[in-house]
Amino acid sequence: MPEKRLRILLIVFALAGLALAARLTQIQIVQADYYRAKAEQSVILAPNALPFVRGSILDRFGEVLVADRACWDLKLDFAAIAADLASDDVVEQEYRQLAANNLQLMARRLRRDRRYAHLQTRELLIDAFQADMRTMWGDFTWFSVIANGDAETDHRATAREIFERITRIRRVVADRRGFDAPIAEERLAHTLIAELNAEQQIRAREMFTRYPWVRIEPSASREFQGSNVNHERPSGEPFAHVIGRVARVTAEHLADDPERDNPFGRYEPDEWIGITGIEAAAERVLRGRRGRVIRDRDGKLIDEIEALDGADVRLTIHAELQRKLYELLEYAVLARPDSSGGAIVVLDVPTREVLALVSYPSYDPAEFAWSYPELRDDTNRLPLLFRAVGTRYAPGSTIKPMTCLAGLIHGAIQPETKEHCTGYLFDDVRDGWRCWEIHGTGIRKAHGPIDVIEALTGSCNVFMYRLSERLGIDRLTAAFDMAGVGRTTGIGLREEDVGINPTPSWLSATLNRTVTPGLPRLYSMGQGEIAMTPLQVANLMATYASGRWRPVRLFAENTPGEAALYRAMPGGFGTEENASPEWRLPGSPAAWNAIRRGIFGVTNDPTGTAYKYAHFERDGWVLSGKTGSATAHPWPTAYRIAYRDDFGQERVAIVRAGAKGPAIERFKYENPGVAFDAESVEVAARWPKNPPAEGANHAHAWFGGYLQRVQKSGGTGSPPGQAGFTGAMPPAATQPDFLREPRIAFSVLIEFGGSGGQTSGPLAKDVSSALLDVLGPNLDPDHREMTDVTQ
Amino acid sequence: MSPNSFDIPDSRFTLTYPGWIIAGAILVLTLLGIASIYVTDTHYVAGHDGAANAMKQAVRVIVALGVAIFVVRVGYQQSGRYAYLIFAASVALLLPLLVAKLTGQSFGGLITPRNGAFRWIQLPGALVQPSEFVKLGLVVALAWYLRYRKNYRRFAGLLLPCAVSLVPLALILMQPDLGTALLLAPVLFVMLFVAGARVGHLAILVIAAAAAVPFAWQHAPDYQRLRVTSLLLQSESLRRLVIENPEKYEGIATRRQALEWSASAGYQLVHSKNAIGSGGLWGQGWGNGVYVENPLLPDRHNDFIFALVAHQWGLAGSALMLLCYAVIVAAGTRIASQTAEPFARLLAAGVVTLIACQVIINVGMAVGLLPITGMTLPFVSYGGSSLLVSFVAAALLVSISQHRPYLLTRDPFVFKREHHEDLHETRPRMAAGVDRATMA
Repeated sequence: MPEKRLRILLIVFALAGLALAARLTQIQIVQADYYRAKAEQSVILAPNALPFVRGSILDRFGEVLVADRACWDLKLDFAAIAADLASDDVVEQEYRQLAANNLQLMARRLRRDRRYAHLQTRELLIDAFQADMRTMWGDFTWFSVIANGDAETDHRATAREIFERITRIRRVVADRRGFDAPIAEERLAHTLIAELNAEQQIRAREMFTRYPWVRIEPSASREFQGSNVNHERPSGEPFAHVIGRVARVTAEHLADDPERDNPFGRYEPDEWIGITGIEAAAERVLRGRRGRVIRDRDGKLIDEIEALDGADVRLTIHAELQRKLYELLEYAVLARPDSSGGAIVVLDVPTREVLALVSYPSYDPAEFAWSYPELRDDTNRLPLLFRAVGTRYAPGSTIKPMTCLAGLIHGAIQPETKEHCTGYLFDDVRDGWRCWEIHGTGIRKAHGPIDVIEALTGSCNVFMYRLSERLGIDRLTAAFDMAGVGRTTGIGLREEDVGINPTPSWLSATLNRTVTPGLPRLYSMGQGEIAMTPLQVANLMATYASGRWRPVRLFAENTPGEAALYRAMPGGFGTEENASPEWRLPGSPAAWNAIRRGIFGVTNDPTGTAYKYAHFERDGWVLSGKTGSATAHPWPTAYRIAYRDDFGQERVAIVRAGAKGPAIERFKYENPGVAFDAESVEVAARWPKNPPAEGANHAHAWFGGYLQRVQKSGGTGSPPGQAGFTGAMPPAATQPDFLREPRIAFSVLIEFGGSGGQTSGPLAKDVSSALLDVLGPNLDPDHREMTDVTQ
Repeated sequence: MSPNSFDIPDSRFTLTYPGWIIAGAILVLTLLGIASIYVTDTHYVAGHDGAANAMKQAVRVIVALGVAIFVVRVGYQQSGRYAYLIFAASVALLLPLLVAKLTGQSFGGLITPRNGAFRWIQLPGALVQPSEFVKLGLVVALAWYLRYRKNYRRFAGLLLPCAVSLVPLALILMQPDLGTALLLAPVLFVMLFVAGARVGHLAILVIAAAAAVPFAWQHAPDYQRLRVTSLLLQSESLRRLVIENPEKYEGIATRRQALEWSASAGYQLVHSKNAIGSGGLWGQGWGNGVYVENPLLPDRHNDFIFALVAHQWGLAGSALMLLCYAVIVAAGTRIASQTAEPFARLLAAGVVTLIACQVIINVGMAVGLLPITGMTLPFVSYGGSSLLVSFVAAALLVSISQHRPYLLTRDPFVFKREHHEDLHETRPRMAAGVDRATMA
């Protein structure tokens, strides 16, 4: 039997061998001529890449916000760049040989060029090349002056930067491969002047075609568009943060590219990649794949693979609303000399589609390349900060309804429970645990005996202190967690900050602190470590309005094709691992009714904190909302680090960062191997540079709210089943329809704006008015006013 | 021919007939390899040109030959004594790679990923690929374990070698190196088969493996699936069909994959076939031809060296190469059938399977019959670990052919049902019963 089995084994191997032999005969004898022709072709024919167009970003109606615009790039062969640096002692020792080799290569190339054919020896060719390079740099300066009126740009320095970038890529590739070898980038031409328009490129062709190493190639640049008829400001400004930016790929991008072996999908040097906002989040969708064409020497088409243009990304943003709110926010911020900026977020409550994501100050994306240093150094306004999504603030009193809801859920209070507010938590300790101060008067507000509705309406701190003591920190932070504090909103933007929910475990792990009785008191009114973004507060308002927490959506998903597209985005919106579940918050109808009546009272009860500023009723809609004044401290924006340089000299570096840890990380990254004293690191600059004067209210002004239908039948205003319950209702005839889910929720923040009611209240009123203007009397997100008469 | 026949003399210190022809075949193969490496400039950098690589390879051949002679002198029996130790040591070599991958630690620059795979350890002076040693370690350990009847005739006895083989298989799969990992499966199966495992048991294993295939297909990364579908996409007419009706052929490839195939996923295969086909009957000649002069075919000096040989020497060269391997495999099988010792026979069969499978997979992928994986061609490809392991494997064959014990017992592996019943089945069962009783 084993003999037999060995024989079977041998037969199996023999059969496999026969199959191989048969296949070899087929390839090497029968089809030999076909393969011989193909082998010859593959050397002679050089493929040319076909460019693709990056997808556009659209608003919810398909209006183009940003799109690719055709332009031309002026490029220089790498060999010429390197050869020009051969006689330059600034080049690193490691790559001096590379420059010298390229000088020889240029000489060999020029020998074949008929313009240089009269030069016989290599030395003469090198001399001619170097002389021509010198005149070319002169031509470049002259070209900049006549094309842009710019005599400052040092193009030779740009060329040196390109050389350094390529050698850096070469080092990364060498580390990966294990040996140093030429890389593909050394065979390419690299962009020296980007984005020439039609007129400039004709002029450039006139001036530079005499240099065989200069190329002028078609390219594309991102251009912000949109109906700009009635707007004097640059059209991109309201959208700059949410749309984000593209930048040239770096060596790190190239090294991490999952498609680096695929000539159609991989990033090539000088290509664009989205680095912030939607451009980064939807990079995979927006980016296309290049094609390839092969022609023989007579120009006959041998093979063509068409390019695949990137897909468009449609957002849920309502462009007209976004523009309008940006203007409102700008006026509101500029009216406060202390304020450094602000944000407005508008959500559609049933779907949680983001209708507007406004952050002020912003910048003009068309001018970004030139204004970047100025924007970066503006520590007073921090215009590069995406406040609506990427910056966290203490939520202030906007979180109080959640504290009350937790109390009602756990039975710590009943809707009827009354607490006595004397203006102070402890009558004998008057410098701490106070209720809020009536503006500019120095008078503490004493609410007297109040129930939960009155506590919310009057934003009583003492009520919250007592309630939080009964709840304890665990139940309080668990309730905050349900409301989305410290959770991602699911928006899918890389800039998103998830905020902080200060649970006991977070406190011990991050701050190494134990829970003291004071902490739940602080958190119950949204102060202390608790932090949220304006987007989270808007979603919190939608949660109050509907009783459900849901992830927000920034990408429109109306067709199945679009849905599949977004699911394919890595880490993006709608992927399985990123899809946050939706849940209904607990709480009896009575509890929810009390919360919503409290929020309603803030803007509609004469005792409400925002009644004076934000009482709004129009077209059958009434505004409910909660004010918040979050005590704020100026933030550090830069750190001073003392270190010793290579010569042992003591030096000081200013590193831009928001905290000590990142500052040290960044310093280490920028100065590898340099010794410094971690103890000596101190704050060098704070934001804003001129914080509000001493004695003024150091607070961010919040307003979060939603628009509710006014009840048509003039009934009691109490939903069925809650008829026995009477809260502190205003005498006014207006009664909201609590049974119908509010349509639109929003949040408004003005940094260092002072009191929430006084500063953000009027803005909230303007926002409500704008919402009705733009979305129509039904507050339908898919409604828009046709402002452009030409359409 | 009976294994107990005395027709071949025991010549312990001279190379026997099968030894000589194996050595001859290996000589031809290594010469073809070095000659091809010599004319291929790999990286156009000093220290990496063809001549330097060929020199390195020649030195490795000499070192490997020295090790092989040492193995023949020591004798294959020693490998049995240390079988489990050898296997454990070779598997242990894989562990640092896994640690490096999971923790990102490089052990002082010893382990760095290349093209995303953690497959090599950079020792001073040599780049070591531990998965090559595991192949041989597994063969030795399996031969040592399966020499007992109770281990291979009962299904429970078969589970242990299967489970043990899965350890290196999983470790290699994580590097990731699908080709080498999948090579271990046929080696395991053939050794169980040759040892005499029941056909029913083997069928269960085959069915279990077949049942795992759809699951593996579902969970395989896209690029691995594309390697398999590439075999179909070779056909230009199929590619055109996919491009024209992408919905209908969704299961094979997307429209874009078919469109890009010849320049991305199928690039290596297209050029490998061009190189082999353009060799014709007699080839382009040594150091001549498009694919020698241009670096169009990636890995042409190691994994795709067969294409280079076929390009330069045509069908004559590729047939000579296959013939050399056929000689080694035939001689190895003969050695296996002539030895009477169970361990020696299993070892010989395992070594033969190892070499044959590598050749079939490597040549099969070069001509477009099998999916492309990272698999070296034994004795020919550029690379030290592969060469050393191939030489040691051949040395084990030669050693077996020289040590032929005279046995006065029944033929091994030949038994009838009654032997099986009374000798081996009853005793372990009783022993187990006693154990259970004393424990209770």
